[in-house]
Amino acid sequence: MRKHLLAQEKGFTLLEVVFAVGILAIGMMGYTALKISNRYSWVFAKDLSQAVQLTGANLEGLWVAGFHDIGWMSSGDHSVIVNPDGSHALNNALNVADQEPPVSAGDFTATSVDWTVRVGCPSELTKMVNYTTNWSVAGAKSMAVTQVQVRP
Amino acid sequence: MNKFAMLAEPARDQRGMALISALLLLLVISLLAVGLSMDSSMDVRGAAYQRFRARAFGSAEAGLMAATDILEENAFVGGWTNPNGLLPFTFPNLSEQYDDINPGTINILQDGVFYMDKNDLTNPPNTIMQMTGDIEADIITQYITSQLAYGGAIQVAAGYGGSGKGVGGGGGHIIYNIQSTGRDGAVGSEQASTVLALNYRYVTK
Repeated sequence: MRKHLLAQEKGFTLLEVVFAVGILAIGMMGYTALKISNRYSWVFAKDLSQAVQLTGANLEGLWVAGFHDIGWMSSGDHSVIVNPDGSHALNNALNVADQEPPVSAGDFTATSVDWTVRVGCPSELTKMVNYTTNWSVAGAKSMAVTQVQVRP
Repeated sequence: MNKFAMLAEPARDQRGMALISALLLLLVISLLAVGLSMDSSMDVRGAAYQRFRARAFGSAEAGLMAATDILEENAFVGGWTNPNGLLPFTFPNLSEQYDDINPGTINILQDGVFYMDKNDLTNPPNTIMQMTGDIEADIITQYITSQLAYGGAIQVAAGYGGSGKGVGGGGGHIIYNIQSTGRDGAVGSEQASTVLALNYRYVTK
């Protein structure tokens, strides 16, 4: 009786090994999925952070240029569209001196930036600028960050 | 009983140990997984908060800019009396293009009275403005004091002393404190707010 039992329990059966490997595989799949989503959210957080920095910096840049009354600080909507091939186009430029604000910082590149200038807003002697940076994240979702500033 | 039989069958007091250790291992692995996913969500939440804070700062700054401009233009208007009693009313000089959705909404509270040059210590003339729309800000304008200038600004700069309106054609000045609170983000843990304050001197002529 003892002898028979010992012979039966030597090592693992094929079925046991298959189950063990199967459970391990499911675990590894879960871990990999977690790592992938972790990577996506890290990239998302980095892009969001860089977009906020770029938006703030470009907005300040516009104000400095605005003192020289460059066209794109005049009343109305303005935008820079970045084409898939990397070329840029500045819309509604009123002045030959107009140059595009930068659309990338580090490894972050916006798909477009646009800003609206409202002169005499919210009070008579102030100018209000809404500045939006648009970019796309993996999965073709588009994101936008907007900042608003008012200056005399 | 030989030694192989002892290996095959666990001792009596170790029965159930396999289940317990498997459960413990499962717990540790689950905690690691939860920790990993929390770690990545914290990155995203931090970045989102940074974004809300940048906009809140812009709103607070915008509130200060608007308040100083409104003050500059209206410090000596005297006062407007709100026709609607205690209800907020819309700032008269406000641009129509302030807000696309709801044009011209800066609400001014303080019992409906906007006496910028009133010196009433029992009822300090704090004026509260609420900006809504593109800018979310609450602005408190507080009258501090008014005094005659020691000469006009140009005379002070040039080094003249003396006091009173007659001296060098100087006037007086009124001092206000302005505090602006900007906000952005959904109400809750992710909402960011920034408070900025300014001491503003309105120079009269």
